[in-house]
Amino acid sequence: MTTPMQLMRKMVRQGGWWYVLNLVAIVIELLVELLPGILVRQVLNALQVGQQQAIPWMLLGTFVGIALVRFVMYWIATYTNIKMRIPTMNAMRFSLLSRLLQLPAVTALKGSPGEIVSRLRDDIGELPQVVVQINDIIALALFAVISFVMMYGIAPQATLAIALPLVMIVVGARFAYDKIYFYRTERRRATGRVIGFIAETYGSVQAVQVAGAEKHVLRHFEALNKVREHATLREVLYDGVLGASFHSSLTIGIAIMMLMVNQSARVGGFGAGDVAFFVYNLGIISELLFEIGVFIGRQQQLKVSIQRLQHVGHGQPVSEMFSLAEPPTATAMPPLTTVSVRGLGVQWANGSFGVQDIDLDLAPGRLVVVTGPVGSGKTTLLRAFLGMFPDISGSIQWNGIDIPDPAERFVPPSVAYTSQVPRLFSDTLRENITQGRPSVTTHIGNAVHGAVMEFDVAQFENGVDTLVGSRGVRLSGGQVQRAAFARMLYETPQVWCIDDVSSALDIVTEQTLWSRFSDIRATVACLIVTHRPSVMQMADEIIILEHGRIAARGSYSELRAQGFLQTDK
Amino acid sequence: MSLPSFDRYRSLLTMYFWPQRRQVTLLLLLIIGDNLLLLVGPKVLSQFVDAAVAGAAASVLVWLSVWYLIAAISQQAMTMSATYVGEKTGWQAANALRSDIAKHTLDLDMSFHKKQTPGIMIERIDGDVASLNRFFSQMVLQIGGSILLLTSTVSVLLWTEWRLGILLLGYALLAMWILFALRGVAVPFWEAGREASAQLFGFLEERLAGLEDIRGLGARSYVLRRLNLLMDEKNKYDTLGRVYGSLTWMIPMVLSSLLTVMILAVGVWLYLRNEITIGLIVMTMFYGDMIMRPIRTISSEIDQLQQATAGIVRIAELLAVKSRLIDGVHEMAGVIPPVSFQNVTFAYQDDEEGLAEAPVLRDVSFHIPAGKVVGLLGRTGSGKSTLIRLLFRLYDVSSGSIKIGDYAIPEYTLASLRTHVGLVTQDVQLFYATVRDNLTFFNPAIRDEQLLEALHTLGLDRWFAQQPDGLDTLLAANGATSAGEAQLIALARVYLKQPQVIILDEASARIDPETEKMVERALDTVLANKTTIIIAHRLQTVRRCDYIAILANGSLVEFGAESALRADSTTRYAQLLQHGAEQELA
Repeated sequence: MTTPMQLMRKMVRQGGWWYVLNLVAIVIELLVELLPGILVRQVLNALQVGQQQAIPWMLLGTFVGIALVRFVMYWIATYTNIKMRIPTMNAMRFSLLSRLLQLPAVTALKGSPGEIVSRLRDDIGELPQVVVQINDIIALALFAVISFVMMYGIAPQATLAIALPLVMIVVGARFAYDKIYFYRTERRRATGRVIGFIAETYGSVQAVQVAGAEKHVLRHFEALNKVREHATLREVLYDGVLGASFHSSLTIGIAIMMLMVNQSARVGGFGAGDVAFFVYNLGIISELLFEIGVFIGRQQQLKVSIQRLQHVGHGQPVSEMFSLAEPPTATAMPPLTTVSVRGLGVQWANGSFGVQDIDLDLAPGRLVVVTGPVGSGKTTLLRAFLGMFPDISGSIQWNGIDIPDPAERFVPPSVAYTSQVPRLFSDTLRENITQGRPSVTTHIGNAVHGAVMEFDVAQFENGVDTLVGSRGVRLSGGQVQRAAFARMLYETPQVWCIDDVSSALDIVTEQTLWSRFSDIRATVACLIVTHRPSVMQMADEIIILEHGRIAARGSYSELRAQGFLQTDK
Repeated sequence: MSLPSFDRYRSLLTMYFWPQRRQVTLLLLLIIGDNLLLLVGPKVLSQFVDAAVAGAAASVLVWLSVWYLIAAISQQAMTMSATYVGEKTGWQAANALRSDIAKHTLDLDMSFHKKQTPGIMIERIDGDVASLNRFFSQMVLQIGGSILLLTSTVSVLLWTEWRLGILLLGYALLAMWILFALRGVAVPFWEAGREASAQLFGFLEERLAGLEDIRGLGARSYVLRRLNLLMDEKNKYDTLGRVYGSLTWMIPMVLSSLLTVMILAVGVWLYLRNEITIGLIVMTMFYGDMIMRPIRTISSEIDQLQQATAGIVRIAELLAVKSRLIDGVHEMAGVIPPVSFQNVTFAYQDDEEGLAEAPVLRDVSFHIPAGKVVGLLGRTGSGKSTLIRLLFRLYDVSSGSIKIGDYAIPEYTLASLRTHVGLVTQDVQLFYATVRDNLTFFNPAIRDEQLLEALHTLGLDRWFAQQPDGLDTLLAANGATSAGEAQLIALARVYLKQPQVIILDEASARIDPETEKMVERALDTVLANKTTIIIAHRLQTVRRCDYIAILANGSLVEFGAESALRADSTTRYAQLLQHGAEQELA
């Protein structure tokens, strides 16, 4: 696993010159803050011994300069602060999404989409904060070293006495690491569940409403919120105790100083100005302690975030999640003569098989239907062919050449696929169909026609440029399926993989769809999951699956003759 | 500057703070104590300096040191307690608000929801409320506490040495004036930033949910390019918001350097006239430094307030969205009711304009006697799904009426309507939750035995046996459950609900003939003596219907008893049967 240290180094490099500039600005600003303490000390000490002529009045004029420098440095620090965080956030979000888009699609998501969004949002959003803090700590530490040297020069014993409790608390805080880590994990987990639940609830709000389940869903939501609240409060309390201990150590330091001064003041070596100087500097050093306390907490939180992000990325080390390289675009397959699938199998994590020993052959114009009872592995077969699972056995050959990575190669413009429950995105119908491919009006027209959507599109206010709502809610189930079908037809590929597309269509539309389909499929190989007799009749071969294996295969009439595919009661 | 009026803050405060008034009182006391104790430290320190300079007895100095320690440590304890109690109050209030938003939006009709993505709802319920959380837990009291500290510091000083007091007062007023002048300067950027953020994460949520489609479409690079554009947008506004927002704390902070030198100058002048002690100069300087704290607090709180304001605006908008449905008063009786559609016309509304689009249903009338089954046929887009949505009051009819039993549906309470009418849709949504919660829709009142019985009746035994933790198995939203199995789960949900009216929307569509037979048998039990509407396209399904209704282009073109329509070869139904028989049942 990536250590927080490695990750921080990575983020610093990502910040580049913005990071350097930020550090410079903060250091300058803090060093300038040394000046008021020094001046005040001189003035007060001079007063105490009655030497007001020694007061450096001219120097006091520099306060105006100090104010100006601080203003400029603050401004630079603020601006660079966000600028240096942006590259990290962008790179991580980009590369993580890119990775999810390269993993086998079916098993890519570990958790609900909403939960993963929460990690992309919060974990990645907070990671770079720690780098900002490194600069604060460096600058404060520099300040602390300089002022301790100066204080030591004034009163060595008192300075050592002050430093002692500070060092002790910083060292002692190490023991708090595990607890911080634990509370942080708990809180994050609780947050993820809340967010995942919001996403799911509003993703299926219609189902919730018609089920009349609003009240129960709300109660579940409240329960998840309660868990999160407790987790958060525990963390807050723990952090609070830690913070208070840091601050108190400083207070104790000052009190010790007062006691020591009690002795040295009698000697006359420790003046009023020195007291002011000590307290002023210690006030700023207390910020260092505070920042260190927060930093320690952040380190632990960083570990939690690293783990959470690594989980989402299927174990990819977080330090490698900075690649802005675009994933390879698929090169078009050579013109198809044959696709042969031999011994295709998918094994689940628990050892059982989704499908196994599947042999099938495709060729231009050839139509193969896969059918079988619910849960027999039809969709799994199709997804395995497309490389959407991690553990696929067997071989797939295109024109006799092995294709080890069908997920990378079997995409448009070579292979197009419609899933069983297709999703549209909140975009125009045109963008949903083209998905970034060049938009050619005649091709879109053909695709819409092929999907029997021309009447629907004619009724849309803006035709194919009509916005289809969230997840295509505004479209009926049949319309979504046909839009997805059009998306698949767009710019006719060499192979079509269709998973039960017509399930939500009425008889007439469905017949029109398949009859148009048979007109355009002459040069395309088709692999179709369906129960429709009308489609089966078009098939060159039908494969009947049972428990993931091929139970029978043959033409429609052959299989009927063997007693399969009897639909009557 | 689009700041909502203080009335709106006040109403939020009273609504969510009043239930926890004792905790809030405690918090108030802690904050007052915290701030007053802050005054003690410099005071003790100044006495110490004067005592040391005057050469006081060692015991006096020791006592002063001890006093300093006590004051400082108890102040720390107060700060810590105030933070904890504040967070607690804030989370309770924020979660109450989250519940209220969830409750409110879950009750809204689909004209609202079809415009939202789940990602946007996450941003509202989680993101916006989180910035409000700060407002609840810290802001108001912190600002109050800071004003208290500010006034008491200045008062103490005015009373001790009025000239130094005036200096401090002048500075405080100037700083406050600047803060006030800059109030709201960053709000437009925060708002735009939050909106861009909602867009970005809404986009991500949708794409993650549609991963399989994106891969199948080879749309990977396209999605990533869009991601980059959305991130740039968000970064732009975040940067602007931060740079402008920081002005509020930067300016007073820088001014404090000038204050220090002025205190020093005036202090020295007064000392040389023998009017004050060195201790008092020290105290004033620390007070001068200290009033930075409340001023900084006030300014950072105002910064937060700007963010919260953006949140308040959007949450207020959300809560102001009224459902177009007005709840009825009647509870549905426990008897199986007839259902009738009378001259039902419906058009979706275009929200911005309030204009109606072209009607999708026109003057539809038919009657289903109690306990009978109607088959609803028609092409996609003919209005079948809309008719069903109307029956559930996801929308209200534009004219005409739908009656169930004695009353038109708007006269029933929505809760009772949706309890007594059950629906199996073509799309089944599974939750990332246990099998139990997926079956019961989180209703804890349903017992496990009932669940097992339902699973058995619907032939889900084999599927259930595969679940490693039984009813406690966590179902992944797009995991190993096949679409067919999901449909059976949907049937189980309705079976468990035991409604009096059932609607099957193309429910059997994805089930193979084998399973379908099993489901058919289950349906015999589920539908027995229920008033039923089936949106069907399979001929087997149609055969169980007592009546047939055919929709075309939003109008009812045929309605009658199934047997009568079947017998008359001139009817559309008979032709459809003919047509379908050739294709479907060869």
